[in-house]
Amino acid sequence: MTTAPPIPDVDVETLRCEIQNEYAEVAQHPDKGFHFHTGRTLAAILEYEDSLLEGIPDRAIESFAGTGNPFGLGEIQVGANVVDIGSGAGIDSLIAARLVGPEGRVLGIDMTPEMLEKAQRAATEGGFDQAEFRNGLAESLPVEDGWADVVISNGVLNLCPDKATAYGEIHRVLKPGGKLQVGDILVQKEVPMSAKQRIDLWTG
Amino acid sequence: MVTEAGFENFEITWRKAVFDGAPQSSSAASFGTVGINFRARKPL
Repeated sequence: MTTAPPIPDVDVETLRCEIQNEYAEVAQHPDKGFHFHTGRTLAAILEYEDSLLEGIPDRAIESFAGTGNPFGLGEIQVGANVVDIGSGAGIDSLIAARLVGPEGRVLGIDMTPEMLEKAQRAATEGGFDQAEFRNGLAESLPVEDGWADVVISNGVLNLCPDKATAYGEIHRVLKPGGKLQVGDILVQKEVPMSAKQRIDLWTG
Repeated sequence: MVTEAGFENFEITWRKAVFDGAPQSSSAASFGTVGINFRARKPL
């Protein structure tokens, strides 16, 4: 499966490294102040109901950096298998874990070690044995074919260098009839190629 | 891109200027960037 960058002259590894560095900072210094809102302030902007955050450890919430709300897009049922692409410090994965209950499972996938560590600590702290976090890329998900009832993602797919491959991977891991529920961004003005080639603009 | 990947029932259900007032200024506003929610389904 190809992961060739769709944008000329953008080195994929450099781009991923810059994104990792940015989100390592979000994990380790969530109050630093970024080009985007974070934490509970962000959750309110994105219209997360207070009930969604009940029982979610603060360490998962403080480093939240999504752009939407996957939970307003459809029910996540008890016993379901859920994949969270770009799980970060775990807020959405742990909300999903509470929704699926002990008979369900949640796989959070992220490429930033600092975020994975923080998410795993949050899962342990919150008693979410049904949540597991794995290192991986959206373009190459460490998930078996047809495993997921629902794939969620929040503020991540826009950062993928090869979005077509990422959507192909989501299709692969979903069961037939499975649902994709995503928070992301939409640009309403044409982005010139010169801007797409600036790695600093991908995170800022 | 989502439908090209084989999904059906693609729908954007929500959008909002989620970067407004962020602690640091962002290039997002210059491109009219908004946060969105969307959903789709893998066919049976």
